[in-house]
Amino acid sequence: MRTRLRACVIMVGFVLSTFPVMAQSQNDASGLTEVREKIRRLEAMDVRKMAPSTLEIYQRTLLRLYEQCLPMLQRQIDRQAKVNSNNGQAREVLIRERAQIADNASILRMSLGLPDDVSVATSSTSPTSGSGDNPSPARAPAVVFAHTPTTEAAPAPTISEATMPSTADPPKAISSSATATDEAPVTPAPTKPAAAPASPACEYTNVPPILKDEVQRLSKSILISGGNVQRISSQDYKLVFYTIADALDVKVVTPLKDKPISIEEINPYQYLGETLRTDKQLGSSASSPASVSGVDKPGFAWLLGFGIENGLVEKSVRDTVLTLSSSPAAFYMLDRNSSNPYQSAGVLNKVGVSASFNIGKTDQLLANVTRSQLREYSVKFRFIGDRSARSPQMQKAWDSVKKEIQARLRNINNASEVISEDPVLGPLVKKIDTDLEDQVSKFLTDNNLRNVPAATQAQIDSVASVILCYLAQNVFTQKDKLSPGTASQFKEVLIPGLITAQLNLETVRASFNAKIAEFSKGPLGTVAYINHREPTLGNYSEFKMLFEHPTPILGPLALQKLTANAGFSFYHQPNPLLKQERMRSVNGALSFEGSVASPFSETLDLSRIAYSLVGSYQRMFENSRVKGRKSDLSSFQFLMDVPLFKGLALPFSLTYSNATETTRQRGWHANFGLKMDTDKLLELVRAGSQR
Amino acid sequence: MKKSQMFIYQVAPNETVTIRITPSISLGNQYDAVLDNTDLDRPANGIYTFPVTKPVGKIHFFNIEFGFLGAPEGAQYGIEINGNAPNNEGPFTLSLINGDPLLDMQFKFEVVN
Repeated sequence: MRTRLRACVIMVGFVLSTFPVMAQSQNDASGLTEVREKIRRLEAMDVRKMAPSTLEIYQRTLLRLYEQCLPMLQRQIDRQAKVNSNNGQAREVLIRERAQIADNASILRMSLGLPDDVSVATSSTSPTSGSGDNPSPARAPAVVFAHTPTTEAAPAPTISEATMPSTADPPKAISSSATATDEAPVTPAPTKPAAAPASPACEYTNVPPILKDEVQRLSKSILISGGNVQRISSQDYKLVFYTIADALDVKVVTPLKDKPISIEEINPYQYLGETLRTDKQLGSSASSPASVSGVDKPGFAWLLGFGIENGLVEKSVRDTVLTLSSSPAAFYMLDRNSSNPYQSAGVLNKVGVSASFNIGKTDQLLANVTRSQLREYSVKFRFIGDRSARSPQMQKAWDSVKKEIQARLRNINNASEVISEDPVLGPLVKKIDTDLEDQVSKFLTDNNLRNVPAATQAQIDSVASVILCYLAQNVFTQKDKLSPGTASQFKEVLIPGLITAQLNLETVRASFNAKIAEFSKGPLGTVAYINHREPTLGNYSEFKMLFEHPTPILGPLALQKLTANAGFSFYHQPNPLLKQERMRSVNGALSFEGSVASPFSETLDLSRIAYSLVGSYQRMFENSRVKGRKSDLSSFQFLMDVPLFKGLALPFSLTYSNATETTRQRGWHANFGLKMDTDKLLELVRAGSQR
Repeated sequence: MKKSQMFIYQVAPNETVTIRITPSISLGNQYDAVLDNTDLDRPANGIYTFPVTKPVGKIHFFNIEFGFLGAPEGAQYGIEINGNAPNNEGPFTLSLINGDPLLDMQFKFEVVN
């Protein structure tokens, strides 16, 4: 409820803050920047956690911003055309941005059940504003893919040479640059400036969202795999299927909708989402002198966790501590015949162990891993909750949508079978596997796009435009050449099947998302035993209950997770000279945690920056009997955990405490460290080696 | 079995095709597959097996969708494709890594002499 309220407040704030932008319409440049920033911030929000009503507010707000942005962009495009004819590339970028936003707005309107208000998207589009940005008069929404490379220095790609010439009249969804000129001799498109990297070879206007999404996913997949164009052959039949389905423009009556629906109205297929984990304890326990965090997390590393921390919280001595952590279940990794080592490990998955060592030799870290350097060791047992992708609950959630997932795959296979046996489309698919791959490959080489670790949207769009151009010229045009049997199969079986499968998936997705949300909201509970080795104050043991629950607590601060610790400690051999008795202390800690996207994340590393506010309290019984010490110790901490790259993270904390265990001195302390999650690192290294 | 392309293979009549899916350590079994028009049960050992039953010139379509829900960065599915014909050139391997936007793959097995 509070999440919803907070999201609504943010949304209302956005709406209110757009009024000044409207008032500043005289100054489009600054207004555009401001609107872009608002869009960027809204687009960065995590919609997966939004309630349906909040999501609708979010979508409406975003749509409103898109609609504000479009005329501003158009004015900038027109202004650039008038002011300077040599800034073609900047103008092309604006045109592409406008097309993208028009597309996004169109999808949002569709999602909200609003009419696709073309006038908003293109109201100020001048028919003579450029050769590449004229909306097709035959199709309603101005979804234009302009084929424009992104690298200024790169030679103009010769798409028109590489592209198979169309043997039929351009269909209503396609306009090639040559055709546009032929049809409009009175107002020829302005000549492209010499500096412009390329002119659009063709446009696939009004691309159905489902096809556009597939092509964009494919483009991104090619880019982040280092230019592996063979990915096209995994989607070739699907691309042909969707393109022909678009060309045939069939309306399907379905009980799932109150009016006939065409493929253009189908939302893109969304695969399952991604969730992230920040609940692993990789450093030493919170009571360790060097611990960066004042609270222990209930999760633990499965393979090997590695943390180095420096600082002080409860002691007055600054220490550096190395912590190694793992689970006995990791031994199951050695069984190479096991298809799922995690499930084979059974109850051992619930056990985590760790050991922390004082670091004396900083140049040889592992040389410190000796018995004499041992500072503490711990054993954890998770008694409730498992949020990993391997858990039975997650498997159950996945299995609950198996039927619908398979229905979609089956529909694509059915279409593939029909396509493969059609005398026109069958050879066409084979041609795609060679010609289109060659074209995309050439495009990547010409534009230095073979090694892009994190593909930008502009790069994805540029590759997508090559693919869409090919589909428009070579596949869309085949609709009139289909045999009556094939056309009938498409119209009566395949397209209705596709639409039904997609709609069914949308229907079950809501309940699936609810299950996943419920799963990720579940509590995580661990009981921990920690054995502390203290050469001067005496060894002692500590029992703790660690509990974590994702729940919105302090809404405006976006703190989404609560972690609580409670425990007690006792001396093994109390030292009367130090006024010690068997019971050493009781303690408790409470942490509120949130996260934001990290600018340091690489393509495959989706980690987020986690931040938390931690309050802790400890009652040290012996201190009440020692002069100059305080028995009630409390501290307040701000903690940040910044992921750097490939499983490495930099934790940093700032703590205010009213005293330490051995002095009454109050004050601020800064702690920092370095953490390595080998579970994650191993996955990333393997991922990298596969590319 | 011979590989024509990353997702296109040539198989002989009656050859047995095996497709082994191996989730990496941080993954469950979030995948489901379809062979032609038939839903396949997810095998306990992760190995799909089917005989080539179509005549020469036809294609078997094996379509599979993966999930990475709850998985960490870099988690991946290993895919190993193999046949058992006398001239078998397999196994062939590829992988799907968390972060790849394409989570379904259609493998084509063209029946040739």
